[in-house]
Amino acid sequence: MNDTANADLALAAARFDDTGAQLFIDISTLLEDHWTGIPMVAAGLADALDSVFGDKLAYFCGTDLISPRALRDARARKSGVFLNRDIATGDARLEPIPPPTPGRARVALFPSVKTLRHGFDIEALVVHDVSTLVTPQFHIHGNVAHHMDAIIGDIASSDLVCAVSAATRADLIAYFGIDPARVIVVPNGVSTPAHIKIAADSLAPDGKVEPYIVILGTREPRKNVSLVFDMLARFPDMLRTHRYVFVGRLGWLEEHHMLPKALQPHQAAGRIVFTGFVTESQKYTLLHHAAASLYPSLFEGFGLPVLESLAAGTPCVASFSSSIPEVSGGPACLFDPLSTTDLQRAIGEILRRRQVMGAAAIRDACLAQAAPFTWPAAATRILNALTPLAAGWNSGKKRKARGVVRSTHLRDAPRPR
Amino acid sequence: MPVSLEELRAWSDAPAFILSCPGPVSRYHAAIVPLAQLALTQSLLGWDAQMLGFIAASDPGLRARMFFAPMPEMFDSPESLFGAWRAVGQPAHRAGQIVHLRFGGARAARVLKNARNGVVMADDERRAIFGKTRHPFADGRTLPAAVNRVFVYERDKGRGEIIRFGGLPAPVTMLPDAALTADLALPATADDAFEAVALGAYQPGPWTAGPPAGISRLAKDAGMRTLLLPWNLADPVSCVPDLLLRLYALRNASVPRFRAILLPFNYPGPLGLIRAILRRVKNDAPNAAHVLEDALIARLRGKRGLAALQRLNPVAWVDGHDPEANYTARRLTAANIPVLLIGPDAAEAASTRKRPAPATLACDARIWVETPSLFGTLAVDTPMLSANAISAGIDQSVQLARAQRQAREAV
Repeated sequence: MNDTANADLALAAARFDDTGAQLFIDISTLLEDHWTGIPMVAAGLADALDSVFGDKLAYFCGTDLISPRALRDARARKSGVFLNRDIATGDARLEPIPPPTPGRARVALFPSVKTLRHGFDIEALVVHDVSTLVTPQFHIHGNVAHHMDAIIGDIASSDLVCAVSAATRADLIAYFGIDPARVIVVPNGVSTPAHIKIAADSLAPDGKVEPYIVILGTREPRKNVSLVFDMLARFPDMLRTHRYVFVGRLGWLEEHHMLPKALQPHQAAGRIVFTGFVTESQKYTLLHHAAASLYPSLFEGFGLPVLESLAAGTPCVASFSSSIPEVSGGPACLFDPLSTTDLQRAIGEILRRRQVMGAAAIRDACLAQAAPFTWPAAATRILNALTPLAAGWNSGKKRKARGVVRSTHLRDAPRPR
Repeated sequence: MPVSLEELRAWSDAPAFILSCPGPVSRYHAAIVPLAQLALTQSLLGWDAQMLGFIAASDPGLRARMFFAPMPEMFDSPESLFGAWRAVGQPAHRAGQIVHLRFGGARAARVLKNARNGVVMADDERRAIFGKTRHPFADGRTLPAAVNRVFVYERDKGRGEIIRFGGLPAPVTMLPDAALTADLALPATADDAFEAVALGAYQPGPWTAGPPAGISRLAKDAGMRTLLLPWNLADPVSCVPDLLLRLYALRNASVPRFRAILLPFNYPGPLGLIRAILRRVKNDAPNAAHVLEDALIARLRGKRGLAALQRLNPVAWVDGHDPEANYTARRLTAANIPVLLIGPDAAEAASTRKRPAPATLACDARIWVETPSLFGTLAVDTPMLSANAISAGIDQSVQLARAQRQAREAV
């Protein structure tokens, strides 16, 4: 699958190159110290595009170009600590973004919230979810403001909107009324370096570990970890057969997802474990050796932890909410994220499947489900959508109006019938 | 007259009607539940009451096809809906066939994707609210692109029209008057109650947990005048917190003695506003201890709760600038609770409404309200009552309460 994906990407890049356009990518999300979620998406796309464009790919932050060497260093470290420092000191800053050149479209890809609008000839925006709009009760005010302040202007100023799932695309159309032709689906990818896989395998070469179930993700209300607590409180026998390992840092609105008192003795006995933040390598290892993973989220734009579980060869018991069924496919077992009994049923079913089909067959099915989700595949979709836009711009074809998303002032609103 | 399927015109072929309104999902044990499993904590005012009124007024054929979804926005794929229908013991209905009716106002409008979406509205935001952010739904006048307004409660013609993203017209039908009080005519149930607790004894835990036990404390002094202050928690710039402080600032003047009962509605959600008013009373009120002990905070479920409230012979002061003011005033009036509407000019109100307008307390002061919300910090310059106007309002309330008592005794 990877060879095919890489070949497709090379072809898409060649077609894009033929238009004479230059591709720029916004790296502002990569300034974070710890990369999870959106920074990983930005890094994945940058890796894939770098592999085909090399030095033709330009990186920018704000209005300045950033040194490709500094970016490659940050991607190798999977951290923005040094990148942040070098941009602040000026060491990683190059010249300002070049001005327009006739016949050579400047095409920008924004992996998240835009730091600059109308700075390029063609702009593409990746929208990860609209959870801050649709489920603001699960977020702190700062999160809501960060995403919602910008979203109308960001979408309106973009020629192409890339939704990470069909569910997110449908949300954008349903809530903002975006022209469907302007929104494409670009699923996230997942990639695990070979050395991490080898290291994980070497920890238990015979595959024998004490059985445990992983719950992966930052603990925040939307992730609905409290449902797992409720289930374990209601069916404590489940803790006798499997440990429950919660992987991820503590997020916000903690009161909604703290371990209830009734379960604290099980934590003391080691049957419930909280790991806190883990590295990519530790995360893969934990997923790889787990009997199953749980993902009870109430709302997702994509559901990266589900894909990470499948890519580690581990089946996922996943909420049937929003985009998750798109990602999880057949090897997953879906459940109602408001129902502890349905969650218990789904866990039972996935463990039975393991017994009936055998661990190896389950693992193969999970890997096959995850295989199409690669960063080269994601980059290919974006390039295939951008190429006709770039060609049209270069040939001087009149562009469509960008501001498809608009709200009408009250005085202009038509009278209801 | 029951709500007819005819009102829903082209949608009447739907095999299922999913109703939804804002609220905590943790009270429910499935993504779609039968109406019998509705778990609402307050039912006199706000979107809970609007939904219950709509259900009660619906004809049996429509009601039999109704379900409740605590979080309709979670549904996207067929797998989601199939799973939910299986849990509720229903044959699977495809999203394209079903109708989703949303209660809860413009700011909380949500979409069940691929279904036919309608918003049932009682709110009508007319104020110029200043937002420090540009949240697309902060102004309370913009709806998601995929919804139609199928019913509105009462809306002054030509004013405050709410539009969808994209600016397309949204079909609108007035909800029959029967839906205003139909639920109050239903038989009382065991957990119907009027629950009140001193403001200083408010605890968010019991308030969010559901129908409470053990926090009842009705106003003891039967002879004391009761001012009911309905408080829309979904209206972040409500004047009610300021009004409460001003009311109690008058307690030492020569005004009749009264007890204020705050009746928050449209919760849970921004329950933090109740904590905020507690902080303000403690920090700003010169007689804070007295206010915390004397003012009550209440909620009400069903017919028995309403009867208990009516026995206190209250007069409700309704914030006329609240987007749901019209509905609130009509609902309270229909429940035989006299209403004084704070704010809107009486002549204007009379000229734009078909029905007789409630008595009005004219505002003669202004305050600047600034508050954090889910849409960022919102601020509004809002009319308010001066001390003199409040004093006159209390006198007016005494007369209204007396007239109400006499009318009740005559019956």
